[in-house]
This record gives sequence, C-alpha cells and structure tokens, in this order.
Amino acid sequence: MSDQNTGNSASLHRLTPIYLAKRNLLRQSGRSAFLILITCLASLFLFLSSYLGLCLNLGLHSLGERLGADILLVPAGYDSKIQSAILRGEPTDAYFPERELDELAKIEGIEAYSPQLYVQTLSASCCSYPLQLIGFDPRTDFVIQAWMKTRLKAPLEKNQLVVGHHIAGEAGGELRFFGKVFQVAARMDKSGFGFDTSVFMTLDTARELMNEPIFRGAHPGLGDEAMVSTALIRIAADQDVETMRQTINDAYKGRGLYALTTKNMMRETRDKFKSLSVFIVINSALLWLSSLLILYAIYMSILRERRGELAALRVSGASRRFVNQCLRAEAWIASAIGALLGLLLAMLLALVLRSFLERELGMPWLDPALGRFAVLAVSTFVLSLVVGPLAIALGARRYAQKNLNELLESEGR
Amino acid sequence: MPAENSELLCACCGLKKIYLRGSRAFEALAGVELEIHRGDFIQIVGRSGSGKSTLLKLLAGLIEPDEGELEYSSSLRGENELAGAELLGRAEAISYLPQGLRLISNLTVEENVRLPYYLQAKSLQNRSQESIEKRVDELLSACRLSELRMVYPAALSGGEVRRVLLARALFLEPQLVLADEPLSDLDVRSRQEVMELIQTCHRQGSTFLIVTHELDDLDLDQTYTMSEGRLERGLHI
Repeated sequence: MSDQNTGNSASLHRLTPIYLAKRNLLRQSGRSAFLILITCLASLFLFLSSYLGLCLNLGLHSLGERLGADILLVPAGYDSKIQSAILRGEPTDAYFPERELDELAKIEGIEAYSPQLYVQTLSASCCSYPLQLIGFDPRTDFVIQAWMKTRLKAPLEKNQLVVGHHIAGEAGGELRFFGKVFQVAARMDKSGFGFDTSVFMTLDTARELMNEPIFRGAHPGLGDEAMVSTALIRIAADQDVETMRQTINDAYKGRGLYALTTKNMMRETRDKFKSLSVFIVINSALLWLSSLLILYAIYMSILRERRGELAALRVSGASRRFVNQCLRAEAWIASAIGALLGLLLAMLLALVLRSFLERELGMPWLDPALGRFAVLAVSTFVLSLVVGPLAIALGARRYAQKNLNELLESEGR
Repeated sequence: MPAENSELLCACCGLKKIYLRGSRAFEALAGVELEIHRGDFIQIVGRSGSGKSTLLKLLAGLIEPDEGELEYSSSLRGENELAGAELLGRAEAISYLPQGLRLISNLTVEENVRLPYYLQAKSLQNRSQESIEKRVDELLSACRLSELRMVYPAALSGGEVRRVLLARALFLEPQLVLADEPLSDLDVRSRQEVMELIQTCHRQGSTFLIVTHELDDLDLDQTYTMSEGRLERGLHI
C-alpha cells in the first residue's frame, strides 16, 4: 500500500528523464494540476476563438461566392430589406413590375441579368414562423442553380421546390404553402447565410402563389401585372462595378428603382467581421502570451526549488544534457495533457454553442469541412503544446549549463 | 595510522586558489601540499573560511587551481584518462558529498541510493543485475535503512537523510570519498551513527577525506588543520 510518503516497488534499471518527470508530476499533483489547467485554458480559448473566426470567414466567403451577382436592382427604399432577405433570409415584400427590366437590355456592359421574386409566407407546414420563398427564372438564373447543382439532378418543375438547409423537409417529402401542396425536390447544403432559411421555386410557381386569395388579401395594392422583387445583374469583366452602378441608376432615375453593388451590401458584414477578427486575433495572442508568462513564472520557481536536486543529479554522474532533458520533460508532459484536455473541452463547447453563436452574431456562418476542422484542431494542439516547453526553455538551459560548482553555490545561498 | 606504503591515489603540490572579493584578491588556498593514499582516513579541521571546502572542491574537480599541481592515480583516471569533474561521472572513482547536498525528493530511499547506478548504467554493463541488487540490500542494511527503502525523503529525519546520502555516495564502491561536513546539523545520536557508518565503510576498504568541525575521536596522525589557506599536519586549534 502506498501513501504520500511511500512508493511502490521500484524494479527500475535506468532512470530516464520521462520517468522522473512523470514521478514529479504525480507527486506534486496540486502544482501539476495548475500547470495543466493553464495550458488547458490556453488551448480551449485558442480553439474556440479560431473556430469562431473560421466559421465566420467561411460564411462570408460562401456569401461572396453564392451571391454571384455584381449589382442588385431593387425598389427604392427597400435596399436594407433586400439585404436582410439575402443575408439572413428575413422575409420581405418588395415588388416592382417585371417590364422595368427591359431597360437593362439596353445598357452596355451588362453581361447577364435575372429576376427573383420574394414571397413571404404567413405560415407553412414545415415551420412555426413566416418563411421567405424565392422564385427564380430557370432560363436566366446564374446564382441559384449553380448552387443547387450538387443536390438537384433535374430542372425544377411546377409545384416543386428546393428547401434551404435549416428548413425541415427532405427530398421526396411535401410542404404546404397558402393551402397548396408542393413536392420537395431537394434539400440544400449549408450556405452560411439567408439561403439556409429560404425555399426556392420557379418564378412561375411563385407567381401562382401570389395569386392565391390568402396572399392577395394580405397585399391588396398588388395589381395583375407580373412582378419581381429584385434583379441580379452580372457585368462584363472589363467593366468597373461602381461605374456600372451609376450608369444603371442614371437609366432608372425617377422610376423608383435603385442599383446597389453586392460589394457594398457585404461591406457592413465584412466590416463587422473585420472588427471581430481583429478582436479575436488580439485576444488569442494576449491569452497565449499570458499563459506563457504565467508558466514561465511557475517553472522558474520550480527550477529554483530544484537547484539542490539538480546538483544531486550532477554529483551522482548525470550529464548536463540529462539534466536539461529532465527539466524539459515535465513541461512537455504537462503541456500535452493540458493541450489535449483543452482541445476536447473546446470541441464539445463548440458543438453545444454553435447554434447560439450563429443566431446571436447574425452574420454569415458556415461550419468547416472535416479536413479544415482537423487542421484547426491540430494547429491549436501544437500551439498550446509548445507553451510549457517554451516557458521553461530559457530557465532549463541556464540551469543545465551551470557547472556543478555554480549549482552548489547557488543552492548554498 | 596513515597507510603510506599503499597506493597513492591523489597528490597535491603547491595548490593555490585565488578569489576576487570586489577589487581585492583573496587567497583561499596558499600552497597546499597533501598526499592521499589508499586506505587513508584523513580529517581536516579549521575555522570557517580557512579554505577547507575549497580544497575539497579542487580535489573533486569542480574548480581548477590557479597554481600548483593536482595528480590522480591511473586507477582513478581509468582507461580514458579522465580528469577534474569528469571523475565524478565515472563509476568507482571519486564520490563527493558537499555540504547541503539533497536527496531527490520524488524518488524513494532505495531509488536515491541507486541513483549513481541509474545514471551510469552504460558504464556498468559488466556488473550483473544480481550484484547490483545485492549491493543495494547490503548498503541499506549497513546504513540501517532497510525498513525505509520505500519511503520518500520528506518523511526522513536529518540523520536518516545523511545516511541515505552516504549510502548513495558509497553505492558504486568509489575509491575515494570526499565529504564536506557530513556531521553538521545533526544531533548527538545521529552524529554518532553516521560517524560509525563512515568508520565501518573505511574499515571495509574505502578511502575517506572528511572536512569536519568535530574534534572528538580524531586520529591525530591523519588529522590536518587548515588555517588561512595553509594545511598543516596535526591539530593546531
């Protein structure tokens, strides 16, 4: 039986630095726990902040890629609502006559344009809140169908729809809007922004829905003319976006329509992301440095305490190299345990908190693929692992380099 | 009685060691002459600051003399002609017990005694495991530590710690043991126990050079007095 003052049978034949390090860590469990805790916290916060930054970055990147268009034509005064519809999937009811788009055909420098129609549901069988239905023109669309390619194997037909990732509904299932039943053709991969809480259908299907009495009743001002909510415009490669935007605005002056660049639309989100990124990076760096300093102070205290033992090792025949390895081994082991624990805890917290963060931040958010996640985990582990050994490096080298006389004299003081 | 006809292990000739204290030079050793023969039991006495510990450090190879010669026998130097502090790393050569030396706090008594073996195992490959185990048991028994073999140093008394240090110093059967104040800070009983142990080990063949303040039981033929860096045979206090 062993207690704090007695050991188990030692049939050891060689004393290795790792053996001594493990014994030191086990016997001084309180201090060891503290060393492990520091590294654990560093690892935890490093991972969580990096994960947050990565998800937001991927979301923003996805937004930029999926958006596809350079310019949006929207009803004047509705630009922020259209932005909310795209970025956050918030239902909107902006409309203008489709005939207005004929003007775009006359403007030089526009490579392609495609209308979209947003229909706000009052209720739906899938969800407990109003949804955004997006009607697109399959003949001219260059944004939505490119994104759907991976899941949708055939063109959308009448009374078929595609649901965003957060909508409850699988391929082959049914959804009901305004009393009409639709077949779910596909459920999309996560986009990281408003598409995830939207439902997609052809323009014709969306227009039929708008003719339903329930919808008409809620929008009495709408006439019989074919309506659209926005037009997505792609300009020629040799054109400047700002110049084209001005040209389009000049063409639509006084007609109640307004062109805005998707770059500007994303600017607010980008700026928010940039501020958050800087905050995350600075905080992570400060945290890592703080851990380094705290561990440095603790390890220097340990080294001072162990001077006598270092002298005992050298007097008994240990080389400087052996002493150096003994000092570093403890730091490596404590750091490895702390880094791993912190990483596991962080991954668990990320799993639990991701929905909350996505919702509260209100920014595009996309979870990383497994490969990227693994790279993030490994880099966090490595950065946290080296904190302890770095902290002890300077002190370990100094003590290991001392000759025996210096060690004995410093112990005697 | 000094064993003058036995092998000369170590010879010091005109050893000087000078330290700087601020801008002033201080002569810690002022031309020490000493011969250590196999089987000797030399005790060096003297006031604090007379140079006793400095002499021991020179003999252990921790510091170099500023003048004079220090020679070791071929049996100490071994095949590789080691010198200075390298001799401490060579099994069976010199064992040095400085003042205030500690045990390794997270190793048991037995592991502390075995420490030189653990660290020098490569050079001890001609020794069988059985002989090592036997040596451990012998030493623990001789030092009355058998019942404490699995105990950690924090639970030991001052005298017990000193016995473990001595056992560790003797583990690899060194030819020469240099001990600086091995009895300091011990109570009367512990001092007697440790001294008896040292004398037993001497009778079994080890050569000792001890710095001590204890004036009782001195063998005056092998006692030297250090005073102001000079070594004189006999007791001159």
